[in-house]
Amino acid sequence: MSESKVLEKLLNNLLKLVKENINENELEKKVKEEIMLAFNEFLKAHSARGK
Amino acid sequence: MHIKVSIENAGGLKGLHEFEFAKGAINIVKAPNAAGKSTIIKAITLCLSFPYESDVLLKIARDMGLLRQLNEGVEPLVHIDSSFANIAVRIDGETWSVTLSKDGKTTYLREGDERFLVTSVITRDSRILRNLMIGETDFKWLVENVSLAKKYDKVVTILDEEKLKNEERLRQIDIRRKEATDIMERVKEISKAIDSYIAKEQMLNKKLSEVLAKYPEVTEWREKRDLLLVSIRQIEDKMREEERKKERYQKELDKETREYREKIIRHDKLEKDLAQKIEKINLIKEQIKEIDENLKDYEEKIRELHEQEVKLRVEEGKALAQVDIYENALKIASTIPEKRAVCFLCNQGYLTSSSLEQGKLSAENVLRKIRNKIANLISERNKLYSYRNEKERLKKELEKLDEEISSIGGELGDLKRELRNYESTVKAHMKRIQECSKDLENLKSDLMQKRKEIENIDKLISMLGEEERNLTSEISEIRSKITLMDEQKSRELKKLEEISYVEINNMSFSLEEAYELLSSWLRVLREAYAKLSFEARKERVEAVETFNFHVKNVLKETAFEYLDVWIDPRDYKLYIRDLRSSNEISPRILSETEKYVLSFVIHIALKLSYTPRIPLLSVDEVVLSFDEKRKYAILKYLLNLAKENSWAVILTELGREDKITIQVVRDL
Repeated sequence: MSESKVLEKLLNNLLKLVKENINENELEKKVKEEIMLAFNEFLKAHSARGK
Repeated sequence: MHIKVSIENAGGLKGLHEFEFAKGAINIVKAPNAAGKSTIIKAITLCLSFPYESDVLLKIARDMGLLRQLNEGVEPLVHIDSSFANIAVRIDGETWSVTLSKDGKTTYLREGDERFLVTSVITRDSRILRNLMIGETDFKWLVENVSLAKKYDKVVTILDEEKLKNEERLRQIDIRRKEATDIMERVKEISKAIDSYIAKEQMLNKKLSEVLAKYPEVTEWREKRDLLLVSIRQIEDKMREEERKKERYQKELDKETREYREKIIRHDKLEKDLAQKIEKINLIKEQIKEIDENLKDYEEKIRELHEQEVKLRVEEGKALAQVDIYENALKIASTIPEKRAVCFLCNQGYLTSSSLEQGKLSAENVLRKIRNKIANLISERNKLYSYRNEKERLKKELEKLDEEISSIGGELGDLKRELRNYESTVKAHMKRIQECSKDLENLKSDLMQKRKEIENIDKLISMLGEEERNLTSEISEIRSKITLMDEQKSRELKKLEEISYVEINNMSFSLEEAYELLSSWLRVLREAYAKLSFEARKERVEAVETFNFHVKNVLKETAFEYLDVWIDPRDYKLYIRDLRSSNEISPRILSETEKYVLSFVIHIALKLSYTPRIPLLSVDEVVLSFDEKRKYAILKYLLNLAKENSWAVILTELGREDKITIQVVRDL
């Protein structure tokens, strides 16, 4: 996955989370998870490209 | 279309209470004080908003007048006789419910919208009204609470943290990259140094080979040296032999010299003795000659002396007879009368005793003189006799001396012969010793020469050996340096290998890959951060704009058309302008009713702006403060809102009946 696609997906998911009816702690947890997931996807894509 | 509310053991409501609120109408809850009117509003708000556990929400709840005291939490909503309370709200087939326990825990079946707290409850204790009362115009808190800006901010903060974390990671990787570059540089330098040492080692090895090539000559030198050593040993043996011989000759020479010296001494002594004896003989001979010369006179004198002696002997006899006469006379005189005796005895007359004595003495003197003369004569004669004896003695002595001289002469002759023999022997020994010394000198010189040759050979070998040792040592030193450098290089390479890869989420990446990846990820985070920051700003602006739009409409509907009220998105302050004078005014100068109505207007605008889809609006005794005209206008507006939006508007009002009643108003 390209950098722009990762960014697009991350932004979409984050914006979705902001709009979700969840409390601050939940939001923090989910945002961190989302960033981690995006980073992992990014890593995998990068690693696959590297290979 | 109803909203069903079930409340069990909440606040002042003991047991299960169920209420129905009509949508599209105003539901007036009537009851006396402390009957549970506010409890119904609080219970619905709690159920449809969010847990009160969060400090932020507690603060909002206080700000909106739902909690009046600082320590007033959820607990008061549980009836004093009960340990828990149940609240359920059913809207259009969907149910929100919550169970409250006395320790403050809340269990939600379905969570509501926290903005409901801010937008759907209007109380007389809300912060909006309090702010208006004291002239406080800062409404940022309100914008923050009603918009999604806070959530955007939260996400932005998390992104910022991630960004910082990533920047730190990148910084660490960059440090590692620099470290890796440094290591590479060091490895390059070490490799260069190793190459230079290897070149030096090769050069030294070549030199060493050249030195080792000289070793066949060294073998020859060593063989020669061994031969020389053998020769030296032989020479040394010879020298020792010669030394021994020389020593032996020397000893013999010493012995013979000693004997020779003794003989010489003896010879000298004998010669001396001989000379003495010859001298003595000569002396004796002279004495004998002298005696012989005197001997004739002596004989004559002896005869004379003999004759004189005879005469003197006669005289002696006479003198002796005289003395005897006197002695006899004296003896007789002692026995006879003095005169006669004397006469008798003395033919010379009468003599007295004293004369006799005197005569006797005189006779004795004469005798004595004669005897002295005789003695002298005898002495002289004896002396003469002694001359004769002396001659005899001298003759005898002469004979003896002759014998001795003869013996000494013999011995001397022998000695002289021996001495002559000794001289020849000593000379022979001396010659042999000289020969030995000469041999020894020759041998010594030979030895010296051979030793010098060995020394030269040793020097050559030593020089060669030293060169070899020096080269070997230098090579070994260089080798150990190379080994050390190799080790250092290995260490550096190991270190490089260790730092060349980083693990990110259990995946291994090279430093460059990791740097590129994290830089790329950082760009994603930065862009997300920028986008979300922008969204947060946009959200705030939109929130304020929406609010401003609705507040304008609500003002119009509530007969406040002469006021223009808005929140400035730049500073989030509430501005009020009197359109009649076009002057901006402070909320402080508004009348109390105006402040109440303005607070109500702001609440309605908030509700319309942010939670229009939640079909509930609670107004807790606010309308009571308005005059009848205003009250009517407000109620009319609320009814319109209820109808337009299909809301259930709940109003609380002081009722006269003991129980809670709900009056549904659909028309005014």
